[in-house]
Amino acid sequence: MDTTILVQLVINGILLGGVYALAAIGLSLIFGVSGVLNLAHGEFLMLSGFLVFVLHDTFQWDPFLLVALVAPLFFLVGYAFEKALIRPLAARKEHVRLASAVLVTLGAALIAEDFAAFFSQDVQFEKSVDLFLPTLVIGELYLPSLKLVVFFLVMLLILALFLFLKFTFLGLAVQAVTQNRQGAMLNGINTTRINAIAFGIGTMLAAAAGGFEVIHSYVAPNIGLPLTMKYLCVIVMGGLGSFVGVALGGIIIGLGESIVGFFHPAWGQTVAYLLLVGVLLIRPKGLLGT
Amino acid sequence: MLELEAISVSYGDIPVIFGLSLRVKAGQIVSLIGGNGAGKTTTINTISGMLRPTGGDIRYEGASILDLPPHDRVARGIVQVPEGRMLFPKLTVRENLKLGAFQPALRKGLGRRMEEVWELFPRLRERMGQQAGTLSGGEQQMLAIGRGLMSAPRLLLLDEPSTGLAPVLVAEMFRAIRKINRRGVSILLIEQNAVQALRCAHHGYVLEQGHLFREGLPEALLTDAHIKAAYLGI
Ligand SMILES: Nc1ncnc2c1ncn2[C@@H]1O[C@H](COP(=O)(O)OP(=O)(O)OP(=O)(O)O)[C@@H](O)[C@H]1O
Ligand SMILES: [Mg+2]
Repeated sequence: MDTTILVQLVINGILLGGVYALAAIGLSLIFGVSGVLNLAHGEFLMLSGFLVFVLHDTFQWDPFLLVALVAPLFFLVGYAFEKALIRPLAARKEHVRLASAVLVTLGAALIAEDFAAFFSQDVQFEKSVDLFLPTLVIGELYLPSLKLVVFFLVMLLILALFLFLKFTFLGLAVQAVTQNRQGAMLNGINTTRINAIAFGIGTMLAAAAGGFEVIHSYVAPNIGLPLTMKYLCVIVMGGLGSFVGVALGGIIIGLGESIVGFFHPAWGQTVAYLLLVGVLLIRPKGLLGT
Repeated sequence: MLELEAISVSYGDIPVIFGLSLRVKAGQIVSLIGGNGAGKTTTINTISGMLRPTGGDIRYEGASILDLPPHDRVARGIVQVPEGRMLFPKLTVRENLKLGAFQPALRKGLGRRMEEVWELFPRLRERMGQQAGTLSGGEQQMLAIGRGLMSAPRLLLLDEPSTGLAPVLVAEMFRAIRKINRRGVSILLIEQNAVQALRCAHHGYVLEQGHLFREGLPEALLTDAHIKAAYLGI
């Protein structure tokens, strides 16, 4: 394959991986703080994408503006989700709690999928927003400007999250709960509330990713669970607890999909898992895991 | 200031504390000693609100605090420096200290209190930007206490602060504890190091397998034949 195509595929892969990274960081944040693997994570992405689509369809508002409006709304959705469905499990014994959390989040995921399918008439009905930006052409390379804008915004959001975690009291508390929950409690941190806030932030990131998906590609009712599984690969590949690792993982899986997809699009999911296995063979704790 | 009134505590169905009564008067250092598994950590975790007693009451400044969650007890000035330190290993020394002042009411005096901590443990200042997980054991213990002080404690619960420290550092630690107490902080001190703990205390309690075995003035406990044989190794 000639190098221009390869470079093109690499660029596309990175741009694709950015959105994966964003949503996966959200999932990782939730898991780190609460210990719950939220199997409904991808559904929030899907629902947010649909909401952006519907609002755009109805009011013709700018889709990026809609993402900025819808994502914070999903902070509340995530917060409420934790409060209503996850918090009641906290008093259970550890193994019961883990099993219940799987059932509850999986159940929520299935309901969300049916809900979206019911309203869009068809599980495979793909919705996307038509937004055209001229493609940048540099030499023989085609740079999809829409995806570039999305990638830029993704990086901005990841940077904002980083600054939040590093420089605000609340952000430090989120890290503290991740690193030592009991220590955090003894420090006067209301860990129950931090759990809900982490769900809120993580869900908000998924929602932003959902908005971006609907802008530069599409959403459909049945994309949620496969995406959650993909983010899980990304998190494990990046190394639990390392957001930089997760970001890298997202981009690597994006790259893998882009390159393999050039030959045959059917193998996208397999690539994610093969890459994961490959990385874990070399680095058992993930790229940047400690 | 703090009164435990006949508290009993269980883990699941297994009782470990049986009707323990204990009091810390304002301004005092009270030492609680006892062998491994006696229930010392369980006792202060109950005071901190990590565990709920199955019976009895805990009163702090005259009112029961049983219904307060742990963070609200910290807000009232009941601060625990836990066994095993429970630092935030990937955060820096400074960030760990900052989190000690997480409660909104505490953030105002943060700078001043951090100065006080630096003054007490100058070594921490030198290590300000270092990740807590990479500190030496002694430094970690200093940080754990420093972080506790950042919460502006009125009653400090110290769980084996001298564990794992070299003899020089142990002496330094006890000096620091006295200094903190002189600043007006009441202290409930749990120690394996029974002689030193009793020597710096105003009052002592000896716990054996969840039962109060003796209480009294340190001098009396230090000369008690049974205690000498069991805990003091003399
Ligand atoms: N989480 C727990 N679940 C069940 N039993 C526990 C738990 N924590 C402590 N115990 C038991 O309760 C008893 C008292 O333990 P505790 O930790 O309070 O002892 P301690 O006096 O602090 O001992 P040490 O000096 O070794 O720290 C022990 O028998 C211990 O095995
Ligand atoms: Mg103990």
